Amino acid sequence: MKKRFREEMNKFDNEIKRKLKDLEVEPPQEIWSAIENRLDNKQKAPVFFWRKFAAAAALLILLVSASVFYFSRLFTSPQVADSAIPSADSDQTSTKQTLSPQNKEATKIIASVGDDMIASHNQLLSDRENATAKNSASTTNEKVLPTHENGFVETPSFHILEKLPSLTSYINTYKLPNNRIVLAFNSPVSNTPNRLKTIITDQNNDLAFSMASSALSISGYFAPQQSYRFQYGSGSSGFSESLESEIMSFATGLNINYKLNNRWELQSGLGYNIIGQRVNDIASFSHPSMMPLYSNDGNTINSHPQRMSTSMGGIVFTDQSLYFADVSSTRIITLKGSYDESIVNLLNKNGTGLIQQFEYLELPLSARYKLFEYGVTVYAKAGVIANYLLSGKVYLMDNMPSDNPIGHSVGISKFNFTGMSGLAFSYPLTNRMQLNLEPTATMFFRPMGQVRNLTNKTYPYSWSVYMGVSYKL
Amino acid sequence: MDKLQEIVDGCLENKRQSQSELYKLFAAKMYGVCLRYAGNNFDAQDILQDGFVKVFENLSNFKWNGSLEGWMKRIFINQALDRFRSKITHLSVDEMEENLELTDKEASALDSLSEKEILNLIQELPDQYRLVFNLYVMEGIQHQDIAKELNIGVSTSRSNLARAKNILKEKIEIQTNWIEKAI
Repeated sequence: MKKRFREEMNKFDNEIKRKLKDLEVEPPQEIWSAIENRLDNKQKAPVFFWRKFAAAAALLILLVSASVFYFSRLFTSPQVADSAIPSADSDQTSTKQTLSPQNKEATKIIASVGDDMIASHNQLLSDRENATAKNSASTTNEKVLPTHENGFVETPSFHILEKLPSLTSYINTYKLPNNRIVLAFNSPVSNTPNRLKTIITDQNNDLAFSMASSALSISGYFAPQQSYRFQYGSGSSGFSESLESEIMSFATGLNINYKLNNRWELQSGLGYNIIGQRVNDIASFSHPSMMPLYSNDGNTINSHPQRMSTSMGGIVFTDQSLYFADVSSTRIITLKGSYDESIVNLLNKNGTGLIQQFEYLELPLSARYKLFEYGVTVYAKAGVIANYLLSGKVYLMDNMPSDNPIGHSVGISKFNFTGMSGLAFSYPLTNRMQLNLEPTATMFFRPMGQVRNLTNKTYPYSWSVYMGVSYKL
Repeated sequence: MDKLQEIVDGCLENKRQSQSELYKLFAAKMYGVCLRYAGNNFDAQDILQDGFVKVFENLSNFKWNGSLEGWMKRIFINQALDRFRSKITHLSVDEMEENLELTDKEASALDSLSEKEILNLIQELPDQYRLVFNLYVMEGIQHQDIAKELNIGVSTSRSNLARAKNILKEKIEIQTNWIEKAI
């Protein structure tokens, strides 16, 4: 009996071995080009990645340390903050006065600004004395300075005043040497719009204004977005793009903004982004023993892989009783053995599909250029984002939002780079807080992943509106 | 042999033309191997890609002591094992009740199945059973060595093989009945 059993077993083994020993199957054409791609990438990729990451990291470190250095200097010497208010009358004229010899601090400041400012400051000092004498609370004095149409103060040495971003359309900010600030109100309702009225106050009254000159700010954003993907390549992908569509998702994060000069700013930070797509119209049925399926042209589909191929990689189902078949016009999920009844019910609903979601951690680096400002400051921005794939979960569409993915996407590159550009509208809420609204377009620089056996390459892109506030440190 | 040597030399110099020729020579055979070890065509294609990239990277280690085909096949098998190694359970499994007597009807059914049909049956086996089945039946590797390779117990390897065969037998039975009904 034992002997017969051994013989039978060997017969079985041998029969299968005989049939499959010399099995030769021509692989799909695309495999070689995929291998070629990988051989090409092998030669280039490591350098590409390391250099870019090293550059991004170095720049970020440089940015942060430069900002901290600048920032600490700013606060260790907050000596004088000068400010101005709008003028309703326009009759006053500039009158030169001599320096007050008893105040050395005043001399120091005034000497670097110019005669008109000297005049203003001396006026202030004498007014203060008068005010004290009169026991009045007033510590300020008004002084009209001629200005140019662009808002620059006309003083003999006005070129040393560095114009900073305005707080509003009618407040201009100028930076003096040693980090002192002049705020000049250019009143749009004034009878003489080309003239500025300047009041110089004691620094303690307006310390907040001096802080507005910081080059560093932090911002938080939330960006609802429409996530699409673009396919590039030749040859049939084996499934129709019409079976896939965009999804609504979001991005969020924190940024540090560093002002290089009057026009240019650099921004970096850390973000979280979700992109993905919907895989529509999936037919489903169940069968206990996996009967062969028939495709539209009548051929039997013998293979029931547990992986569905989409233009964003492949989907592997967590439930081992879910199988998948790809026929020309639709995708079919078959269920076998013991399966979750609720999944069948959901799959059988009309229009059921899957949602592929990809969560990315983002390290952005962007530059922005101030185009113009009129109440709202408008910037053009562009940059690059290094992305790291956190997860690629797959959900049943009718089960969203759910914490219960039915599978995950495979074949997606862990690292990628995204190009980003757009406009940024910035509106001051207070002297430190700004409201930001940034319509932005992003697109992957490199294909999303090695979508095996496909020559098509998928580049996700999205339209979004970054909304948030920034806070000047 | 000279021609093959020439192709290998070209590959070692990173010549794309030679790499393409080596691929054309062995792709169909190696894809056959990959299909046996993988559960589906997608996995097989992944293994084929990964395997060829490994072959090109490690070709300098091939010393012409054996056949190039044998050396390559080993790389593809290793690649397949690597892919499924994470799915292998290390728990020992109860010894399987062995019931492998083939009736004449089943024997003839097995005989009448095409290569493709048998391949499909093997592909539908659970990953671990499929690996053990391939290593034992197709490559002739003994259970002690399979156990070491997959980091499982010898008894688990035996039991996996028996289960794999039982499943195959059941499927062949279903196919046989189905064919009979169809007739």
